[in-house]
Formats: sequence, C-alpha cells, structure tokens
Amino acid sequence: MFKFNKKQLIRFTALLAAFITLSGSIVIIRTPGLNLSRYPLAFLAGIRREIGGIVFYHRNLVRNEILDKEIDFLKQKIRELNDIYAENQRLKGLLEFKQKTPYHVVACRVIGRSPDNWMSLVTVDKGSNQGIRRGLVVITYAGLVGRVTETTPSASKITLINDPDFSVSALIQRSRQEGLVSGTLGAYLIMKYLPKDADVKVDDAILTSGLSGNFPKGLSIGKVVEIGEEFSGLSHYALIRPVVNLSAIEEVFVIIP
Amino acid sequence: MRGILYVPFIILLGLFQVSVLDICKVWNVKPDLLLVGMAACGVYTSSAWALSLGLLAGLWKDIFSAGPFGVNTLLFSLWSLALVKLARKISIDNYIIFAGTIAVITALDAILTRLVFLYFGKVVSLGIFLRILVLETAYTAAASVPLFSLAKMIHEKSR
Repeated sequence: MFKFNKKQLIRFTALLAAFITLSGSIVIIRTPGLNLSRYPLAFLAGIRREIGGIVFYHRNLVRNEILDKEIDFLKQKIRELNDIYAENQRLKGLLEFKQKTPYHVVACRVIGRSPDNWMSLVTVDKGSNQGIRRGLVVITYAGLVGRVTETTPSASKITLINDPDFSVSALIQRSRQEGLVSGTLGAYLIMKYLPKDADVKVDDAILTSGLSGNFPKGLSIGKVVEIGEEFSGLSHYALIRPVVNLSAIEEVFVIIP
Repeated sequence: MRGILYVPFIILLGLFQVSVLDICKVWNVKPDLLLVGMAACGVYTSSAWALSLGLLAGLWKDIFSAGPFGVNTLLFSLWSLALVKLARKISIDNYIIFAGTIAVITALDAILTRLVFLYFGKVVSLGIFLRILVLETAYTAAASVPLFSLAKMIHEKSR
C-alpha cells in the first residue's frame, strides 16, 4: 500500500530526520510555548471551574451539607486544640525548646493538566521567577500532591503522586511500618514491599517517612482501602486512597526549603 | 491556503485537551482530541498542510507533556503522513471509516508511546496499560465523530 520510489524515499528520510531533530529539541520549544499559552490556559481553567460547578451542582450541594457539619465539629476541635497549643507553648518556654521553622511555601494556581492518559501532571502559574525549581515538594492543606519536574520562568509542571514515575518512602502512622508508595495512573496509589507480617489495616493513615529526597516527614498521603498479596507471593501491597482529590485540585503550595 | 483555517482549530483543541476536557474523564481516561483534530484536518487539506498540521498538533501536545523527548511531534507527523498516503487509496470521508481509522491510530499511538517511555525507564504495569489502551481507543473513536463534523463544517464554510 505504501510504496516509495527512490526520490520519495530520500524525501521521506529527510523528513524523518527533521522530525527526529525537532522531537529532540522539544525542551527548547517548551518554554516559549508554555509562556505563550499561560493566559488562555488560565482563562480556560476558569471556564472548567464554572462548568464543573454546573455539572456537579447536586453533588456539591450534598457535599456542602456534609462539610457544614464537619466545620461545626472542627470548630469545636480547634477550640480544644487551642487550649492544648497554649499549654504546649508554655511548656516549650519552660523547657527552652527552639522554635522549629515552619515551611516556606509559594501558592500556585493550576492552569493546565496532562495532555494524555499516560502521565499525571499539572501545570501551575508560578515558575523559577518565584523561586520554584525542579524536585521541590508540592502540597495542599490536605496533604502531599507531588513534585516539581519542570520549570520555566513563569510556569512549572508538577508530577502528581498518582503518576507511575512518582514514588516516595512512606510509613503507616499507627504501626510505623515503612513502605514505598507509587502511582497507578488511577484513583488509588499503591504501597509496595510490605513484609508478609506487616501490621497494616484498612483505614490506616499513610504519611511520608522523610527518608526520600526533599519530602518532609509526616505529610499526609492517604488511607489504606485494600490489602493484598504481591504476585510473587513474597510481600504484601496496600491500595491507598489519596487524601487530596487529584482530579479537582485548583490551588497548590510548593515548599521552598 | 485553506489549511491555515485549521491552525486555530488545532490550537484550541490542544488548550481544551489540557483544561476543560478533564471534566469528561471516564475512569480517569480522556479522549485524544489533538489526534482526532490532526486526522480530521488531514482529510480536508493538501498533503503539505496535513503534514504541517500533524507536526503542529504533535508539538502542541509535547509542550504540555513532560520528558526530554518530543515523542508526539515525531509520531503525529508520521501518522499524518500515513493518513495522507491512506487517503489516496481509500476514502476516509465517512464517519464510520474515520472512527475506525482513529481507533487503529489511537491504539498504535498508545503502544508506540509506551515503548518509547519504556526505553526512557518509565514503566506502566500491563493491567493499567491495557485499561488505558482499551478505554482511550474507544473514547477517542467516539469523540472523533463530532470533531469530524466540525472539521467538515469548516471545510464547507471555507469553500
């Protein structure tokens, strides 16, 4: 069906060589391309938000009622915790503990998402001009979101925790059992290499262990929803539902060390 | 110069692909609008324009992707070249044939993309790969029908 004569073959080879060269130089083209698309993307992100509000109106209504109840409960909790905090401050003063430096964060707005189904990433509206650089950790109020993988002066790409390329050393809050959490490109994460006798239960909270890269210890990752045996039969795995709804994030914070 | 009318069409599809389209995800999978757009434009433009639009669609997709190699720039250009050759042999100007062609291209594109990523050390388990492959192929083929109509409309209005 696809027959070529000599002239066409030469032309085809030249074209192929040009395409390969262009493909190799994508990193150079990416920066102006992203800068150029920043404003239309921010506009479309707003439209996406509005459409989402209309499409998921009833779900949002129900969620709002649940959240209202949760707010009342949390207000009560905050009051209790404020008492404990005040007591803690007093005791710290007494023991002359050094005040630990809190995270310095840069707030970013999500303006774009992954163009295909083979990677899980988002584009945010802040870049190297705001101090963001490759490898920095990204969070929300709820917990861990991902890691910065690419930056331009005014935009950055963040690989989310459900990307298969992403992995972080984690531990089970209750039993302190360690494991490696990776992405599955779906709604769940997987915690691998758990020994067969590991103390893990459904609903256990998973936190970062602080052993890998820039990830601070104690960031919330998710909750265990299922435990199973690895195909090899040598170890167990745990499926984790992330605490952050990755498909609906609109604002994130990049931790600047 | 009718092909130039499809440039904003491709750019808009790319912007939709990375923003609004996320609402339409089914089991975390969304259709590849740029691939459909590139193929639909290829049906109604000359070979040179089809190739240029394929290259533009690939570049546009790679700008929003991550990784050191622009695999879509290469593959989309090759798909548009193959489509131009195929269109000379059979008529793709039909909804069912177009959707079928899109399904085949989407599946091949997914397999080749995975192979390239595998070469760069990005491993996806077979189960996840098959889930995305099947869903993406079906979803993209289904989404190709309205987009094909849109490309046809642009073609007819510009005549």
